[in-house]
Amino acid sequence: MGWKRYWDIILYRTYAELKAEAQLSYMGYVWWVLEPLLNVILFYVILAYVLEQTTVGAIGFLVVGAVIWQWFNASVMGAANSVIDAGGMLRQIYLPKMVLPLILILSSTWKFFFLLVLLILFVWVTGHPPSVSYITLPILVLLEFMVIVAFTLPLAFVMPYFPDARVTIEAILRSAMLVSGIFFPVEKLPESYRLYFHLNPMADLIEAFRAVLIDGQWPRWDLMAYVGGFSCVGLVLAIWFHNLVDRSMVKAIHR
Amino acid sequence: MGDVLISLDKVGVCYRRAQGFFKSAKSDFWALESLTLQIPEGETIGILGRNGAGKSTLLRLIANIIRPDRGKITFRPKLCTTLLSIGVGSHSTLSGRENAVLNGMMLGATKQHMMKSLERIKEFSELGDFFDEPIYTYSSGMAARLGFATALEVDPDVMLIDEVLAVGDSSFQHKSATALKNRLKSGKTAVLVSHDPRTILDLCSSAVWIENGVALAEGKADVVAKQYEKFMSSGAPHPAIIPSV
Repeated sequence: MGWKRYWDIILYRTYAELKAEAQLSYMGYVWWVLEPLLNVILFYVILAYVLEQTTVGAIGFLVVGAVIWQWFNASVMGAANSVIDAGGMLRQIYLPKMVLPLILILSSTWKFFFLLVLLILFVWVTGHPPSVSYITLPILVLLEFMVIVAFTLPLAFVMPYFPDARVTIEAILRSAMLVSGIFFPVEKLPESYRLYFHLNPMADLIEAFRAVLIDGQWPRWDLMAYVGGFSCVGLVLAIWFHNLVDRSMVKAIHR
Repeated sequence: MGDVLISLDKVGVCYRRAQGFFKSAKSDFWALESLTLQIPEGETIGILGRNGAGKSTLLRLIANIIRPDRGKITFRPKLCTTLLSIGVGSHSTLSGRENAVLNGMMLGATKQHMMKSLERIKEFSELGDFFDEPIYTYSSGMAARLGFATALEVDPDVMLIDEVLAVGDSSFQHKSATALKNRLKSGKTAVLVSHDPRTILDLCSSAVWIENGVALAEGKADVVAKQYEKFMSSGAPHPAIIPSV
């Protein structure tokens, strides 16, 4: 009983989500890789050839940023409506509402692991062999997971009360992508803006993954400590909010 | 009378109606006004009432899905109460077997318990080889049979039943109704909601009649059912649902 059962439900549903996605299209698993790949190619073509931006640098720089962002983006997009969409079910049985976004976060995490392996192979063949700093990768992955959960849970819980937010999420994520440094290194920013840039945990994580995967350097520990602290505070607030509205949220879902 | 498992003390549940940004905010609606009720171990309690009387809201309270906005509800510690629902949270690409485990866990059983029950579910649902096929290949009757067989294997402390007593074709309807009746007669604690006094009379020892969110009568099932029937046949107009202030 209790948390063991909810954990089993999460794993079972995650498995079902992944299976469904793979089966409901002809190319199945291939899309997990193809979709982000097409995005990256699009970015690259627009930036390097259409806008003739010399700052874009190597495609590896862009690819790392895009893959790291993709995990965050897919989780938030997928999980934001998870509570609303489960309205009918939630009127019949009790589930802690955090179970629902976690299912979608875990399924996008599984896909991210596929992409991460391919990403490492890609940067390797394009001339950035693994270095000793790779040992920090599990920490970076864990940090990003915490950031994703800290952002996504409250969002999914707020949605039943503000259905209008549904429309704006995509636009907000797109703007967030632009300021997370996928297309440019922080050095391109004027000195006075860099502090604000680093307040964004996703920007810090993208920078850290690049340091490790491309430059073979250690991530900036001060920034990683900030990201860790940020996500811990976020998680505590998310759980507090969850417990506050867990047994009234259902009444706010109107479909 | 056994120990009290759940007790409701003057509970009320309020819904805020969907509002646009520019509309005034005074549209609270109390689906339950003030209800006091005790659910003792081993009894089957019937809840009678017309559509919109607050029956489903009451079930959601007892299933611990929502909390009351006023009054108090207390559960015996670690009590598992579950609404007997068919195929809740099922996933069309999973097989019948996988869905049985998933549904069972949703309804409150552990994974191990469901794994052990699989053979019984397969047999009761009469699905044969279809049990291992994805459920999008099922007819609606087959899905209902699977759902019922699964729900029957989940053994909550308090079983909540909302109208549905029979699913599938006529022979399976008979089989499922019998299985459920046996479960209720064997001393299972249950709360059964219905707008049909005959169902209540048939299965329950005591009953409560609710109307507009308050209990109008309470006591032995036959007495309450008779009062309710008399009231209904008197052609009483459906009282307007008045939002309270």
